[in-house]
Amino acid sequence: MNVRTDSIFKQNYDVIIVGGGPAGSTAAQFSAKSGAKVLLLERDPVLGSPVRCGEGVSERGIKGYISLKGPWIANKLNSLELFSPDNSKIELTANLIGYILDRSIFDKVLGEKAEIAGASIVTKADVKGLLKNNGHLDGVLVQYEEKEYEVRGKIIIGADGVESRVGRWHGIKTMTKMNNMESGIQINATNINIKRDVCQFYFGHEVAPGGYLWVFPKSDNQANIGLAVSGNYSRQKPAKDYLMDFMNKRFPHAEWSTMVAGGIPCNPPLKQLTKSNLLLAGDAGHQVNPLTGAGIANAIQAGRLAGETAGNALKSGGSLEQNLKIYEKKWRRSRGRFHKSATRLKNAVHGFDDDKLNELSRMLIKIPKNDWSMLRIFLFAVRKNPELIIDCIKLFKKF
Amino acid sequence: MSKLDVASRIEPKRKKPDNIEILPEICDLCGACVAVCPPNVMSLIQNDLSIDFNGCTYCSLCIDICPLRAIKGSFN
Ligand SMILES: Cc1cc2nc3c(=O)[nH]c(=O)nc-3n(C[C@H](O)[C@H](O)[C@H](O)COP(=O)(O)OP(=O)(O)OC[C@H]3O[C@@H](n4cnc5c(N)ncnc54)[C@H](O)[C@@H]3O)c2cc1C
Ligand code: SF4
Ligand code: SF4
Repeated sequence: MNVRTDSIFKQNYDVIIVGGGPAGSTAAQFSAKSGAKVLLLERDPVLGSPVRCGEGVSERGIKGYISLKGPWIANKLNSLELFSPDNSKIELTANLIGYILDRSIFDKVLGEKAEIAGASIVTKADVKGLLKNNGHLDGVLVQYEEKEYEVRGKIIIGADGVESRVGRWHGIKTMTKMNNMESGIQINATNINIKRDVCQFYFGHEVAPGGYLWVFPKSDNQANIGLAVSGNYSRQKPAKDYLMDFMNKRFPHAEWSTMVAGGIPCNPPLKQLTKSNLLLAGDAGHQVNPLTGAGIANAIQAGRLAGETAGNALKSGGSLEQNLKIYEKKWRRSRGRFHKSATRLKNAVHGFDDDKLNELSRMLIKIPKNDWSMLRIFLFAVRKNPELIIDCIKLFKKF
Repeated sequence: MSKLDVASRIEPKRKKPDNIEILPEICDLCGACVAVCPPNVMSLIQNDLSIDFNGCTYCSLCIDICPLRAIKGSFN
């Protein structure tokens, strides 16, 4: 038994965070920065591994949280290609479309930032339950090696990713319904002929019904290739079989050393992000963009908000419960509307058959290349009002 | 609504399996099944996925969502 860990578990904390992904580490960093005594518990032996993620982010998504230069940035993208079911291609080029991260490094660095800010991190620590006292949480029950520990804390942050069991243990309805869960699978493919700075997306019922397939290059000859299928369809055929079919067709000579599975919870905004002294952040708080399945940046932003709110709640006196509700208010103010419209758009797009997707792509092709302003107007219009897609199609037909 | 959506909705109700079995050599411990399990009886602890069969309703959603089909249902 590690003596240091034993003594860590015996202390009382201001904030205990469950899960060491981007949401948890960022929450740990910012709550420690605002003066709280913080413990982060992660089940895996090291932060960031295994990588269950396409690793794509926009510059805006991570700017300010980590330097844009460093080994955690694996690649830069200047161009993206969208393939419709009939295989027509839409290309968009820009100075910078986004980055492909190396999350095995990225997540570790976020953890280090939390430690530098003063948080303690224990890995191989499984949180098995919550310590309850009259509807209020006193801490968490941890399994570490062969032993169980009761660890006490004033505020608990559930950043436990897709499973989101911490929320459920405390009575928040965080179960993801089948039509909102995306069943995901990814390989790290080599021996493929791709362009280093171009990412690709493939759509259609044959490739990935109710989802899409991505090719996110890490070099000239290496890419994260993965797909997600809506839980509505994964019963008929598992995600892995869709990916194998695509690889045989498109990259028959590809090789890979790892294949990872993963669920992407593409939910509408969660009705409750806080309850008594519990906050939920990241995938655990259903904060993934439901249309695109992107959740790294959202997890970091929510983690920061949760961490700061927790730190300030302890300092500012008054009712802890009321102080913690500020997190939910702020999140809804900054992200709530966007998340709702992304949900509506997702539902609209999922309802499309291949003919309609082809039609949509023919329409998008007509937008002049590099004309981002027009694309923005289009995206803005459909985001506000998904039904408009149909009107847009009609309108574009006239061109 | 797409044709496929309609099809998946009018599909006849499936018979519930009598047994549910996790195939640990295939399971990647990703947690997708845990997140959709309605009675919350699945847990991933110490690198091991397990089901508390006292609460399991044999609804098969965990089988359906698994990207690798690492859970198997069978009939007696
Ligand atoms: C196949 C796939 C591809 C994706 N591609 C992209 C992409 O390209 N871009 C993008 O932005 N997003 C992508 N996502 C989504 C993205 O990975 C997540 O949104 C992001 O990781 C969420 O961060 P998080 O901190 O909330 O959760 P996670 O990163 O999942 O971290 C949660 C952590 O909590 C730990 N944990 C869980 N339960 C417990 C417990 N009881 N006790 C202790 N520890 C626990 C887990 O081990 C895990 O380390 C993808 C997801 C998948 C599955
Ligand atoms: S969804 Fe499949 S691979 Fe993932 S944890 Fe469940 S059984 Fe294992
Ligand atoms: S069959 Fe249903 S209740 Fe039983 S473990 Fe699977 S998802 Fe949960």
